[in-house]
Amino acid sequence: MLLAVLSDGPLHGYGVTEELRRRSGGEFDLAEGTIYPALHRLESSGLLVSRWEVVAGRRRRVYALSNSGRRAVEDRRTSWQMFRSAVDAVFAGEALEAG
Amino acid sequence: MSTPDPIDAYLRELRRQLRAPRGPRRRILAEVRTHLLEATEAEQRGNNEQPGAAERALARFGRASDTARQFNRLARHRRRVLRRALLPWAAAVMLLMTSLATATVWASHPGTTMRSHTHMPEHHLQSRHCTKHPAIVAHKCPAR
Repeated sequence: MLLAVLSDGPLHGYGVTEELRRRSGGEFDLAEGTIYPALHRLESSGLLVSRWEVVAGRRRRVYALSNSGRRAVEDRRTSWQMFRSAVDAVFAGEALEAG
Repeated sequence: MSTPDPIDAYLRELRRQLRAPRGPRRRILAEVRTHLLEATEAEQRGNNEQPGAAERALARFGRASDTARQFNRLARHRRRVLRRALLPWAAAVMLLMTSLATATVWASHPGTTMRSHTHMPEHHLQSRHCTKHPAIVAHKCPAR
C-alpha cells in the first residue's frame, strides 16, 4: 500500500501517512511510527529511493518509487485485482473463468 | 517552530532505545522529529490551537519503544543479510592467504617437502624436538 501511495509522486513520511488515511477514508489509520521502518525496509529492498529536501526551512526525507518499485506496484495491483475478482465471484455465487 | 518538550522527551527516549550506527540513528531521529512537528502543527490547525497538540501527535505516532523495536529488528535483519553475503568472500580470502603463506614457506625452505597447505612456522621446522607433524612428509631433524 505504501508503494501504491507513492506511485503518484514522491512524498515524505508524514505525507505518506496523510495520503494513506485520505485514500482509505480513514479505514487505514495506522500508528504513524510504523511507517518509517516500513519505508526504510522498502528502500533497503531497492523498491524506493530517498533524498533530503528542505521545505519551509525544515529538512524532510522524501521517498519515491525506484524502477523496481514501479514494477512491483504493477505486479501487486494485478495480483490484487485477480484476488478481488475471485472473492467477489465467490460471494456472488458465480464461477469465474479459469485463466 | 522550536521543538516542544514532549517531542524532545520522546526523541531522547527513542534515541536511547535505538540500536543503530550513528548515521542511520541520526537519520531516523531527524525524520521522526520532522514528522512529529508537522503532526503537531496539523493538530493545532484542526483544534483551534487548543493545548495538548504535541501530546495528541505523539499518541498518533505510537510509543518510542514500539518504534525502536521495529527499527532494531530491521537492523538485525540487515546485519544477518550482510554476514551471509560476505561469508563466501571471507572464506575465499582466508583460503588465498593460506595458500600464499604456504607458497612463501616453500620458497624459503627449498629442501623441505610439505604436503599440507597449513603454514608451519620456521621455528617449528627447526625444532630440536623434531615432532613429526602429520602435515610434513619429510623434513630434516636437527641433530641433538
